[in-house]
Amino acid sequence: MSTERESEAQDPGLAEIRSVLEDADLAGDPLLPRYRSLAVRYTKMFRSFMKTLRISDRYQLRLKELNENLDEAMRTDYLTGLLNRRAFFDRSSAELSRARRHGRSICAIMADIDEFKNVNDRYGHAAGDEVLRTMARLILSCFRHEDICVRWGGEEFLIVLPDTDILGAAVAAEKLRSLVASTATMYDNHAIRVTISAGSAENRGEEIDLTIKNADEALLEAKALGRDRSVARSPKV
Amino acid sequence: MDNLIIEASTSSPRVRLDAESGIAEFGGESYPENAFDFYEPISLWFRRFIAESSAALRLQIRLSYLNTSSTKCLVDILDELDEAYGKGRDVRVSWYCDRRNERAQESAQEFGEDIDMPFEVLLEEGAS
Repeated sequence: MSTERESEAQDPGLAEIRSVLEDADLAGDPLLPRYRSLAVRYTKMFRSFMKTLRISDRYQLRLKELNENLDEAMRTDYLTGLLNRRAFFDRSSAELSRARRHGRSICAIMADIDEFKNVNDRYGHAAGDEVLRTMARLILSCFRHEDICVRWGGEEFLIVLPDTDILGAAVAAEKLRSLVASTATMYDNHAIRVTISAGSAENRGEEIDLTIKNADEALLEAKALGRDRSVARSPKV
Repeated sequence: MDNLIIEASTSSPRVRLDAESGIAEFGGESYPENAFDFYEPISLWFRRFIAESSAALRLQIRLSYLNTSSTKCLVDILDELDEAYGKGRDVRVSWYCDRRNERAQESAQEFGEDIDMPFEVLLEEGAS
């Protein structure tokens, strides 16, 4: 192997041994065969050492990849592939402090599938899971790469939108609502249709928990108004 | 000559060295606290098998992970087997990898580098 030849060429120990063996003073020395045998031994050890390092590096690389996968899995909702709550709190605090630093607005949308229990009761839980996956797909298609899309609970989804004011959030929520209303999930030859209610709220410098609570209240208002609608909560000043 | 059988533990592989059949097997993962202590009797068994018998040797490996010291011990064992092969002994190594684990296949291939004896990496379903 060329890499091995290179490393052998660079090893000062090997170079010294070779030069000693070629030394004219050593010609006819009775110990020469034993020196040669030591040289062979050293060369073997050196090769085995380099090989061990190469293999060990590969295993380490693999462990590192497994670690990264594990980290990813820990931050992802298994069913939908969206972020889970743990990942949300990590990312939202960074976004929040960025928004504060640059004086930008940041909004939260809480969306909930209307009467989701009916889907499960009528078509079974596997169908319900499929609807949740459709929801995730629509959310990801609807929002920007920088928006934080989270499966918040059972059929509840949270989207945090950096650099967005309440008007922008209301437009985005409405877009998602109408997209969901016009999309069916195919399951076992059934076209399952659901609607969502959504509530939006803007962060006014408070902790993100409070913004989420405000979005949640707007969501409840949307539900109370008859579902399949979105409500934007005007910011409290 | 005796067989050597070591049961697997969480950090060391199961080892079956069968002198009658000439089949040697390693399976599991290898990161014992002291790999040199663990592999010493194993390497001794191979040395004796080579010296005291002229039968063929088949080494079958299903190791999915080795720490650095274990890697060193196995590299040395393979070197000794390769040397015996060079002197005319019938030796063959088969390393079984999980089909889905590409990295394990690469590591296994790496063990076979600079070795003259037959060394094959085989893929199987759900192997370690």
